[in-house]
Amino acid sequence: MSDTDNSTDVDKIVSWARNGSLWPLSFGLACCSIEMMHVSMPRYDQDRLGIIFRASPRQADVMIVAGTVTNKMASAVRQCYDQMPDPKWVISMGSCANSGGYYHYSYNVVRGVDRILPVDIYVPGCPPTSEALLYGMFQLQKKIRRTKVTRMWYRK
Amino acid sequence: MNLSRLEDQRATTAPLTQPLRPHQNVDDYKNAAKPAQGWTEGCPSSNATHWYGSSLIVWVQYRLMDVSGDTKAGTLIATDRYGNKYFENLQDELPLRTRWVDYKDYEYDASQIEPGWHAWISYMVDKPPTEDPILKTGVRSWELPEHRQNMTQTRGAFKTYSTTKPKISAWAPQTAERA
Repeated sequence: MSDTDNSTDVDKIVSWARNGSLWPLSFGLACCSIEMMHVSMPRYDQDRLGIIFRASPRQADVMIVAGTVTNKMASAVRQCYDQMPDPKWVISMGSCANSGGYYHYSYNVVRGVDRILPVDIYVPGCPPTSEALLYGMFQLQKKIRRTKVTRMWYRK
Repeated sequence: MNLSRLEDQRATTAPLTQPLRPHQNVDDYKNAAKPAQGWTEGCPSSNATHWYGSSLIVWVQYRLMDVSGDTKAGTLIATDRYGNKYFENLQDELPLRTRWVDYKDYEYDASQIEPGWHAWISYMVDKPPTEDPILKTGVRSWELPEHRQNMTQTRGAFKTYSTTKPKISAWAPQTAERA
């Protein structure tokens, strides 16, 4: 079954536009961000997919939280998320961002970034490979294709 | 230093059977690379006469760009059970770009590739699973009979469950009646 069977034509156009220009705010915190950088490098070349890292949260659609979120950093992560315009999505990359991972029992680590942000896609791994992150991006695109904004508005 | 001798020596030690980077037409070499069968499915001018020949080419190019984001031509190695088509072109493509897949679905997912083909397309093995004896092990008892793609975001998504015995056991406290 196709992903977009449940959505209207307007939804298809909207999701097509959103999928074609996913601009991530790279929130690199640890070794995961090295893998995240590889995705933008020639071998995986995310630019060909319209995925371009932005330096400002005001211009970003997706936040890729790559690495350990410490208690000290948590407020900054949350503030950057709040500064992003809607619609916005979050990819949690690596076991540290997913759940705290190796530092789960540390006294100064947030046990999963989903305690401070609504996370859409969790990419497992320590660190996840670049392929894994790219696959996570594709899963997010699939999720965006399935959003039914106008369909739900019409049903109301 | 005698340069000509050096060149002679190199020519005898490593004879090149093929030119290193042939910038030739894809039709010039053996196993001529051409858009494989099925490329033209849905094309308005599939049984093209010379009038529609150019539109056929445009269609093939469009489909290539649409599906793979690239214009490639190669030998069709095989089609897997799901319907994905696997191609190879060792002559014209750069290393690690010589093997590619044409997915069956328009909205494809990388997990639609079976494990054997995944090994082939990731250059873990030399031969495709149709020819590789290592990959002829058959289906083990613990394997699924058919490959299933990643079911995340669907109702078939994996949910974790525990297989260990609970380490605590609750009891229903019995209190004695007050006398």
